[in-house]
Amino acid sequence: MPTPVSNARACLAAEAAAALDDAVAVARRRAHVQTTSLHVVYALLHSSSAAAPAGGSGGGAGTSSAASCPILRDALSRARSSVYSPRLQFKALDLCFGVALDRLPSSSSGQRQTGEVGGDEPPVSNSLMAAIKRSQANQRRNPETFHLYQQQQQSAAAGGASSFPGVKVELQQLVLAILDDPVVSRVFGDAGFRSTDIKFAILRPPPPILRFPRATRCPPLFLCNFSAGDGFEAALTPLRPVLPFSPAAGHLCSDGGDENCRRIGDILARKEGGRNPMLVGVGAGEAARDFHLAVERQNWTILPPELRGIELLSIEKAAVELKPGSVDLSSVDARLEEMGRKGEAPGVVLNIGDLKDMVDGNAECDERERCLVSELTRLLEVYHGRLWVMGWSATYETYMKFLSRHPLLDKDWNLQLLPITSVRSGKGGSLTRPPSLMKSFVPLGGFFPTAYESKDPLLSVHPSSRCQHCDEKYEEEVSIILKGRSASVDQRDARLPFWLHQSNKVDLNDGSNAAKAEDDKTILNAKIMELQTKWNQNCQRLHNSCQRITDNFSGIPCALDPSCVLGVERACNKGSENPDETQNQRGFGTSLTMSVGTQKISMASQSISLPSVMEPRNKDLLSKLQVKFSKSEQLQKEGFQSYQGDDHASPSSVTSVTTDLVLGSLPESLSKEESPASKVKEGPLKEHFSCLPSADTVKTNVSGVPVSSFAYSGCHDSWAKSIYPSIPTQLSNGRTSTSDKPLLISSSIGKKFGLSNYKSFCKSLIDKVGRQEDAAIAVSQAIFHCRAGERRRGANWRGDIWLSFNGPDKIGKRKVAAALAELIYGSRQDNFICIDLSYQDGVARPNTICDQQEVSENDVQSRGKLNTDLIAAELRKKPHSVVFLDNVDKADPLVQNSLSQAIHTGRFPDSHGREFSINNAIFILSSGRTQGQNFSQKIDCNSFCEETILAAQSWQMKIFLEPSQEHISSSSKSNKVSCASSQELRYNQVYLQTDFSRKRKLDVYDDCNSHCETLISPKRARTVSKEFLDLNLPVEEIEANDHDSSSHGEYSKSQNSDPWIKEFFDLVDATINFRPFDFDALAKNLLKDISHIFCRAFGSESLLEIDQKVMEEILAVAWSLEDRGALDNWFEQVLGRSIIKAKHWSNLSSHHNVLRLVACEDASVDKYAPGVLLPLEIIIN
Amino acid sequence: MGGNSNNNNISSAVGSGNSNAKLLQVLNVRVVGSGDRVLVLSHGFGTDQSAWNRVLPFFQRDYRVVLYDLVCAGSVNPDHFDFRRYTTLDAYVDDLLAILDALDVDRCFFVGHSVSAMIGILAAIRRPQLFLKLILIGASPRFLNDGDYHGGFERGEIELVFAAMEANYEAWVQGFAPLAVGADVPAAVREFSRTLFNMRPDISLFVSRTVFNSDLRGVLGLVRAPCVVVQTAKDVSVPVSVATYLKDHLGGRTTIDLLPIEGHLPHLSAPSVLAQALRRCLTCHHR
Repeated sequence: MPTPVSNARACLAAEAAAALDDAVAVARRRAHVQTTSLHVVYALLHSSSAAAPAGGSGGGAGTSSAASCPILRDALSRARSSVYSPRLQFKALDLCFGVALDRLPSSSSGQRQTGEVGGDEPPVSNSLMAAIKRSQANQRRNPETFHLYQQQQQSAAAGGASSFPGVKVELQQLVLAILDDPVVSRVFGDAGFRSTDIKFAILRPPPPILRFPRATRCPPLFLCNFSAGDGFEAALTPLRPVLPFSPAAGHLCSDGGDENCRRIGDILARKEGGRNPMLVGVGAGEAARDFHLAVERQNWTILPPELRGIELLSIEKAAVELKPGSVDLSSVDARLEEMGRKGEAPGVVLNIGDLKDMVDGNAECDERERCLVSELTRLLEVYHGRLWVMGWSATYETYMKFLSRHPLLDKDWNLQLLPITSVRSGKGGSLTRPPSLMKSFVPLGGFFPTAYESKDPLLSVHPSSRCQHCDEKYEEEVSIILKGRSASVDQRDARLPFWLHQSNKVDLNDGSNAAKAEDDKTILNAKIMELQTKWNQNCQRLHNSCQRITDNFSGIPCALDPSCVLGVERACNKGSENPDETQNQRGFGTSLTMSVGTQKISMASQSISLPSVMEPRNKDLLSKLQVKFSKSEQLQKEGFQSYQGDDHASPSSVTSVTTDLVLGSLPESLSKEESPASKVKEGPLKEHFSCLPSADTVKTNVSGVPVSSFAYSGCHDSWAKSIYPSIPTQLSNGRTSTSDKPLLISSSIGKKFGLSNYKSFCKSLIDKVGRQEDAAIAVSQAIFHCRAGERRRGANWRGDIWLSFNGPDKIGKRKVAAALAELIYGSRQDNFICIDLSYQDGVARPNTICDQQEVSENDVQSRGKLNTDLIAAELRKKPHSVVFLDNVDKADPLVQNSLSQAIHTGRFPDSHGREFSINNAIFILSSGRTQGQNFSQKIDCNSFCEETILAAQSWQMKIFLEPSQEHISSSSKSNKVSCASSQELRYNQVYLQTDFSRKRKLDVYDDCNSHCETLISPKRARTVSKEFLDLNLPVEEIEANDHDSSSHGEYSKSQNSDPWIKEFFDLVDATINFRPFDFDALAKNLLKDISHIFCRAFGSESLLEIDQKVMEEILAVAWSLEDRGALDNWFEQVLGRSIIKAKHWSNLSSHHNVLRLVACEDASVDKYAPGVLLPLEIIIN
Repeated sequence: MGGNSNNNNISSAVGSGNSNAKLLQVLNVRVVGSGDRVLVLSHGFGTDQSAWNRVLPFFQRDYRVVLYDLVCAGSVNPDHFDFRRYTTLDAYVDDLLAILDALDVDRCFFVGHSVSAMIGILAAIRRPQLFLKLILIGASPRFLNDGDYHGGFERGEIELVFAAMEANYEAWVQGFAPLAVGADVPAAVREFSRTLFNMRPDISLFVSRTVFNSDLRGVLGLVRAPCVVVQTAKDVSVPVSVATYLKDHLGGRTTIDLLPIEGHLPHLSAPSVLAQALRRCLTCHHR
């Protein structure tokens, strides 16, 4: 039901109504039945095109109401794509709308004649009315933009809104709503516009300056185009900063001084609570001075109205010089009384200045200070409401010290702490840095300091803000120096700081002198600095007010620099608002931007190189946190810690230099620090050697090495025999041939899982895994149970199976899962998803052998992705698969959520809420925790524990050749190859933290098998000490750290996921426990092989000593490899050859030799041997 | 600069606090999640609240999470940025406290990144009861070197950066974003570039000047709330020494949490690592 035009018009503000009228006119002319959104847009385009010559000339809308603004046209010109020329695109738009309008049904002439009386106007269509309603609602909801809009369009529209109760729709809102109309946006789309772009362009009007009628094109969006944000008024008022950015730069230099004053004022104006401000912060002194200045200049606008007319007395000087405080205070007293009588001013603020001055005084001063404080307390009580106290302190410590000297003073005085954090830019340096340093960045663009410093001279004009006595003397001396150079020396003026005066003279009267001044500047500066330091010392000794003097001084070198004189002068005269100065700044600005290019580059390179230097130590710090992963980077870590120690001891050495210097000095200090540390390390090492002969006697724990109670089957081929008894039905060997083929069971078919299939399945699973027979059987059982429909969970039948693998042998678990994938779905590539949940975002995974062997392909894709999404993505790719999630106990809450939902609903949601069916998937959740049986003690007793093997990285290996030493005779009974076992490592761990020297004696050497005699490896001892002994840190600290991190880890684990994981594991179809892997047996096996090779090459006289690290590497490889072939190859090809090479090397001394195979922990492997993550070559040394 | 602050545009209304509802709207305040504890996530320079999007899901279950935009963010109408008001960080603190008051939050955990960490510190000084714990990501009390203090930047360098920003903002963004993100995560770089470029260049420059002119070192001791300094292993803006400085000087019980990741924007480049760290920090406050 169309709406009469008059009704629609009533909803619109003047402009919009005019637009509607235009639209109605268009509709009437075209004899259309209704006025639609298209008409409005068409009318808008044409009314504006009358103004803008670029537009098409068609139609001749004629009405061209004056009120309609080119809002749409303007937006279009900004929203259009840059591919086409504007002319073309607008032409296309015109055509599109023309065609669209032509398609609309036109009313028959008869209808028109019989129309109602007012019906000359085609009524407003429903869609347009809806748009109007929408915009109305929108506007009502958002009164702010309404007002904003009104403010900007200060035209006739302003009056309209208030007189009518309903909301009058503004043109902008109307246009926005119409753009939502699908018909309209389709037409725009035809013409190559996107209505969202147009809307955006309307919502974000161009910067105000562009709204001037002249600005037809939009310049590039750079800073200089923007005003300081004040909108029209700012741009129109010539006195305010007019030109957009550069004055804003002057503005930007505004350091929050006003803001600070306002805050101080707010506190002073408080009725209750702390009403006496105590400024704390590096910029507090400045803030206090700013406030002082504001009061002095009677700049009331930044203070609350009730404080207007306040007075500020500074007793800073009195406090500093510690004259009897009562003198000053009595004057305050008198002044207050007088004021009380007249009742004119709101009161007096007493500035006690820097607390440091009060705190640092000696005993005699204390007395006076106490006097002053108590007097003040009394006055505050008497003149409550009219007397304020304010003070400041650069650091919190000073304030606390002050409070500790006067306990409860903060209550007595009603002090309110006010943190001051903004620091004036140029000033930040001058407060703490000598002027020479400040000058160092003057060349960077001389104008910066001038701009920043412009206030300093002003500040120092004020007598109260400095120690006058010293200042005067200092000035005298400086002026004497100056007198020597410049002809006319005026004595200091009472008001103006003398150097300004001075430089005026130089500048105006004697130009040549100015040039000379520049020449002599360095000498002069040196002299002045000398003076400055002298007087600083004097002043500090006498009056504790060096701070203020430095402030004054910092201006001096600047003022003498002729280029700066102008700036200072002007600043003095007019302050920073001066337009001239801003122009001046702009001039500099342009010159700077030219040079920026190169400077920027150097900047970038600098900032890049800085992190790269810091990288190693950072990494080490991290590794400290990662308890598990700590072993491999001890060397670097130590380096870092020693550096840290250095940092603590003398931070200034590192930090006082500039960044460049830091870059240079960092590595230096590192290496320097390292050398003593390594020397110390050497010490115990030698001792170790010397006590080696006695090692035999220490061998006590031989039988103490408990071999895992499970029969070790390792990588032998003979494992199969051992499992037959445990399989319910004896399997005939003949069947294995069939079971080797993948069973290819589609998940929906359950009947294939018959008993006979079960047997073969079980057999082939065990076949593939090679160990963990019990677990494999359990897995097979569980799967067959599930497939047979004996579901533990849920009444509705689902295809997904959930298993949880508990216990150690990470690799074994993964192997079982992979074998399952192969057996059930056909392929371990396409049907196996393996994600370790302990890693997040694909963040730098440790470079361990065990990990590298497995995960590599999806590393890049997973970077920056959440684990949930990773799993979901994989599931989408491979719906028929085994999903093996390692370390479920470390799953993040998102994954936990998703898993919970998946197990309940059968659909796995990702972080965006999309869900993926898991009907054909087998989820295997693996965690290191064990349920029921506890294997942990057994793990503990092994020489090699799973953690260390998991952490093993592939390092470059080296063979050291050593001529025989006497200790060989003691231990060279029969054996050739020895390996330092990790038993002593554990003992060391225990003892090291308490007492290093004791530990050395308590080293327990064990001998894990009868063939291979174990010889303590000195290398090992060293690595142990590297790991735990940090000479640069006190013992307690290490312990504390250790404790911290461990408890930390435990805590987070138990807090985060414990309840969840328990709950979740109750839901799974079956829980399978895994046994620990017997690394000792594997090691024994490997050693036997190595010894075989070694014997062949060297004969029985020599010894090969294998470092623990190397052994771990080899073990890790052997553990994670599918079959031993590659490793055996490596033994033959690489190790064997290297040993032979070493033999040639050592031919000169053919008698007893000791070869040591060690890992170089600073070099990772360049080239890997084929098939194994072990080095292709071993360095022989 | 005379301080005629009686301007009648909206931005002054924002500060006056009489219309908290409006403030909530202007700064796009969002409250999500269903926990009983309140967690405030405050974004840093060059981002907006969308930066927390990937971290947010980790907390929705257990926390009522308050998100808002700093007034300088690109997602806030630039008209609200009053160049006279936001000259110091205190104005931002006002905003934060006003938001929390408007939401009737009486105690909360605060997570602040870079600038917001500074803001959080100041807010905790002003209203010690309000903050149960501060978690400061990539925080620095002072970015400039100063004597013994190594903040990581020299004044001269910074002026160069400002000049570069002024000269060609877009080019600067292109260069700065990958540097800040640090880690090789293209998505994060893209996201940060987007939000950074959303900021109006003059505002961006003004805010960075404000930040670099701020010095919180003197007031760190006033913080009473326990703090956790979350620091990534490699951060172009904040050297690790700053973290130790914070630990040494913050008044509350402070711990450092070093993350094994790189970059100034861990919530973009490694959200789940950060989320885990945050959860750890948040839950262990009983100890």
